Amino acid sequence: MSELYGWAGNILDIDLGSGRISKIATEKYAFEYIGGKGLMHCLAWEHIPKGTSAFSPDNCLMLSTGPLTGTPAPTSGRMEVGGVSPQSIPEMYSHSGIGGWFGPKLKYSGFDAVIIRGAAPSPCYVCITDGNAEIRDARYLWGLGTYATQHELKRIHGKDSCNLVIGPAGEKKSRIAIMLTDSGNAAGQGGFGGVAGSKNLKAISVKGSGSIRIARPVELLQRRSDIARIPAKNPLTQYEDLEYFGQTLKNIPWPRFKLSCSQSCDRYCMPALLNVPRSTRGGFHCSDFACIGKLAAGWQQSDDHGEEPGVEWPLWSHNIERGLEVIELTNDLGLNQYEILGGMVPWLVMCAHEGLFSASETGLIIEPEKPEWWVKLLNQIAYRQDFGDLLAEGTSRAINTLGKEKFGETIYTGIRRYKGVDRPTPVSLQQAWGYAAHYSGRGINASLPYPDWLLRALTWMTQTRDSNNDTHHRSKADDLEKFKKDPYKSDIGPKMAIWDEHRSEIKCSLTLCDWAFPIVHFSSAESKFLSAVTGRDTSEEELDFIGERLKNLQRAVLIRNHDRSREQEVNEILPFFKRPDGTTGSIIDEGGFSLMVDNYYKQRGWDTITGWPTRTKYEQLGLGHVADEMARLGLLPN
Amino acid sequence: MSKITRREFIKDASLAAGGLLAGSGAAALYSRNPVSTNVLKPNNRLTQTATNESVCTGCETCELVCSVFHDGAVGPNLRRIWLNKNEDSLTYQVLTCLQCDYPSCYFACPQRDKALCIEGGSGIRYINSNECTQGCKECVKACTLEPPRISFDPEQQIVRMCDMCRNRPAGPACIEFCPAQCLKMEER
Repeated sequence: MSELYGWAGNILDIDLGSGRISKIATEKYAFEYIGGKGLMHCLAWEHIPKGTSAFSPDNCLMLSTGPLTGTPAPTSGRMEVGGVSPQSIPEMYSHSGIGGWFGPKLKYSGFDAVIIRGAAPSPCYVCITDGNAEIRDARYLWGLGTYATQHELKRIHGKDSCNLVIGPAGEKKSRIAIMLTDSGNAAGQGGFGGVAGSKNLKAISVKGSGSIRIARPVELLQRRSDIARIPAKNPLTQYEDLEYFGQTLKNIPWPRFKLSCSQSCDRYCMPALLNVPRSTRGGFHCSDFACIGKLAAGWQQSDDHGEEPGVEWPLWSHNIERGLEVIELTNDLGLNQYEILGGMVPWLVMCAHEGLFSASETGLIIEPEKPEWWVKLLNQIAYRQDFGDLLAEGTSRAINTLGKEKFGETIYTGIRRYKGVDRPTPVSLQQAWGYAAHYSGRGINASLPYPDWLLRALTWMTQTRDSNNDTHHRSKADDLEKFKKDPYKSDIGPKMAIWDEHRSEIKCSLTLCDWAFPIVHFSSAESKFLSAVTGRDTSEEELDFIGERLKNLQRAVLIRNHDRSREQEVNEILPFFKRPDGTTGSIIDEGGFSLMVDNYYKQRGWDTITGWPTRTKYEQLGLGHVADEMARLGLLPN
Repeated sequence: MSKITRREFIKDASLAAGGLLAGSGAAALYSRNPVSTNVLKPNNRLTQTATNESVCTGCETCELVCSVFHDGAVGPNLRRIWLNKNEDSLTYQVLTCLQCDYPSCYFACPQRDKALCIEGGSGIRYINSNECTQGCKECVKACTLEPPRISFDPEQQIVRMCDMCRNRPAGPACIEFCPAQCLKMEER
């Protein structure tokens, strides 16, 4: 058992090329960088040099947990996966959160994090058990889907093993390939399944019997009581028939409707459907609809949606069975569900609607109403067959290859409905950095009005991927009202965005779920959990300070490795927000946004011309060694 | 002697002994006589709110709060309650000690009433880990449930099983913290 409260004590360092396996003490990083994403920033700074491409053996595939992982802190079963992302455009250091039970099991096996570098000469998997690791032959697993791979690994290592695996899409180095554990927990965005595939790494299997010490157990339970939701008092009578998207499911023996997607979850927000008969294959569906998964079930506006701009286009009608098929297949093949449902298939449907695709050119007849069409499409993408080879590169890269002018994402003008008014609006699905739009006033779910989406513009700007995975904005109602009075010039907008960004770093380092934290009316919750688990009293302000340190360290990695600058990130963000939004047709004011960015950089202590942190800022955050390196490279502002 | 035969033997022996005492007019409700099986029956036990396991959402909060309360740590070896998880069917079954009326674990314990004890009044079967020092696992082997509801900790060479949080004024932590309220105290 580790001497540290909350941490397992070691980081596993594996080189698949040489077979070398070693350990790094976590204590070196624990208190300054916490764990999870923060720890990965440190490891990326130390181990990923400039010029490392995503599929290069030099790239590090990192898995990282935090001090709360595996404890009763609510939603703490999460983990972060990171490295140079093949999905991001250009390829950049990025990350992806993943729920489930793998993170806790990794800690019980004695490791807070894993770095995997090099590439194995033939398919392999890493087996981690109680402080030890070995690289094993996985040639017989290569080609299997994610579910079959997990079954096989559980057969070998026992039911209590937990396995993070890739499917055929990862093996084929798709840029939209995931790493999956259990039925539907995935490191989805970022393409890290492809990174694993490039290393000939089929899976990581963990099994641990160790334990993690809690410094103040009574206090920890009290903190959980303080914030946990009031439980449903009568779970037996809530769901007699299952009404879902206008359909009634009566063929489910037990109408259970909820599922936890992470250990220690206190809200079980995932809707789960069991034993729905399949029409495309034999057997039954047992699947959970995550936030994006429900769109597989249908896109057209229905009565129960009211006026939610973004779901009213005639893309495909409602069909739960099809939705379940899509969810299971994307998971089994190891494909990114958000990318497929939020970007790719809507784009294909729009292209078909405008007559841009002919079957003779692509081999694809776009028929999203048919469940079997999805089966064919997803298989083509996963195995890189025919047109699927291009789609396996992700929607943004496919559009770039085909030609933005003809196949650009605003080819289709859909009808957006808001407050009773139907407005023809060009639909844009690609937001920035190679990722599909995500709750930013455009694309799918365009319900966010101006000026709320301006805050998304800021947080997407400094990221390398869709930032809404861990920065669903939360703000005090008063602050939001102040912001709305003068969105571009007020200090409060950048201040709110910065607070959210710091909390994003914190929750992904502890590790906690974005749907649960931060809690605006109880913003000290994270610091209280950390204090109870580690025994080191950490105030809310001190934790925010660490959040700022982590954000600046990530910034340094992006500047050093990927030439990040103000010009680069502002130019990346503007095109999407220059398109009319889904509610009132508003577009971003370029001059106003420039003022907002000035304000944001100033509040951060970053140079307003380059967008780089100053030496003073680095040193103030305890990152003097980073400042020295940046000075040596000429990457400090004048 | 096979495992099943051994269990059946113990069970039969227990019933026979109980019948003998009852027949002799011994209506004692509680006895610490090591040869007596007329043990105090438990007032309650932990069960799921439905025998259909699908009410449980699979979060494992019960297991975590249990080990934090009892041991100040978390980990699989510390568990007294855990889930039988089926990731394919997305169904979960809570496994814990059922506080048997005729506790074969109790009779199998070489340190009976010191290591494996029965609390007066409540009838709760519990482990006194200070006295459970032999690492013999006799109680685990004797458990008639499959899988056995007593965990063996190879590191500390002791066993653990649900004690209904008998020292916790608010009652079992797993019931209090279960977000789906799929656990309840069942009166016997």
